[in-house]
Amino acid sequence: MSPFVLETEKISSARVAGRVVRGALIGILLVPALCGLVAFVGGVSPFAYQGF
Amino acid sequence: MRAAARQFWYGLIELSSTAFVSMLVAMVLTFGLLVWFFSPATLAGPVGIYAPRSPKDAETFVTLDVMRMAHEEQKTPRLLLLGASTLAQSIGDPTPIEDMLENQLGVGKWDIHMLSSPLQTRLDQLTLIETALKNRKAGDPPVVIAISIGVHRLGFPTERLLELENLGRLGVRSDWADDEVRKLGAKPRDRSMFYIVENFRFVVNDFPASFLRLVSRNASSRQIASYSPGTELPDIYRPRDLTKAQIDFGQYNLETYVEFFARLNERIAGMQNVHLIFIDERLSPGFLASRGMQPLADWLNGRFAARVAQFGAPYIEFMKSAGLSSSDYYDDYHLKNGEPQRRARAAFASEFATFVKTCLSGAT
Repeated sequence: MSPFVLETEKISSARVAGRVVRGALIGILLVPALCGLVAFVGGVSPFAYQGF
Repeated sequence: MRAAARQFWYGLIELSSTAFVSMLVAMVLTFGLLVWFFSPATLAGPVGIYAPRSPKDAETFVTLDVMRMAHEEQKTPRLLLLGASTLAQSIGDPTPIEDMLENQLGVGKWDIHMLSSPLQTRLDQLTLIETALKNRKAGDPPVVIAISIGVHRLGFPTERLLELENLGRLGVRSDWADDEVRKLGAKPRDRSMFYIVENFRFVVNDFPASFLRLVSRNASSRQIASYSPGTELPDIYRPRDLTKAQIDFGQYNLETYVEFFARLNERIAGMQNVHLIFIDERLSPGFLASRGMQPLADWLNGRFAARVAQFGAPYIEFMKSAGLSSSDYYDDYHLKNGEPQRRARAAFASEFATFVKTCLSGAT
């Protein structure tokens, strides 16, 4: 069984499920990750101030 | 079964348009969740408990607190305590004060909110007060706004004040604070009809942790007194020269503060049953003695009390009444947990009960 499939080849529902799950996981994690990246690049930090 | 598992694995790792579309859909849905979660109605509701990043995320806790006040009907007399870490550490959880006041006043429970946050500025205080009073109606029970002030708070140059304001630490905005920013000769941060745009820094700061807390249903509960992590901070780590310089500078800044609070008093003057009081923040007597600052500190406290009395706001010196000594302090700013806090709470309850009996009789 090859890991590669042709466009015309019928693929199993398990394989489709794998694709959907991978995409969903990345999509869900990307938004908080982007927030973190924006905060890092923009110097936005809860610890940006010090003192009493 | 093994074949299906292998197919699932190939689906996970291969390049595919299905995965890409699935990713886009998930991103849109997660962004939708962000927009829904970071809206005043959601934050003020039961789901809002997942917003604070950690038990020490005071800015988010106080944001939620004032948003709830703006959304809920007030049923009991309410006391708002505003200040920075010195106040938070002096009183900690204010719930015991509610019980003490009930015993001393015998007129039902006061609802006390600790709205302290680290390095809280007077602009932060204005923002919190305006939001907390937003939906106030005539005939509502009294609200007392207690702002803690100490000699070390006065030494805040305008640049530092604006720098902290522009960090957008709180998740609420205020016309009153924007007005004060303009009076300082600066431009307030942009406003927007969209919450996440208007409070961009707050949202970006909080969302990663809030999201994890929301999906794992793991809310954090606030730790108010979090500034005294040990028994006593060694002298060598105490920034005493810096604190002395702050107080030295602050003596020339006192009038700025008084004028600011006079304007706040004017803003709330039109609201029925809203009262402004000030409470003291005392530094360690050992520090003041070591730098010869006691006479200046006494003069500044006396001067401040006299000036705010001119517009009818009392200055309640509960930390002075508590009779605190240097050994009650963790460092020069913060009381130790335990017994010193209990004494400070008892002194506060006693002084505040006297204020209620003399100034609010009939209002409660």
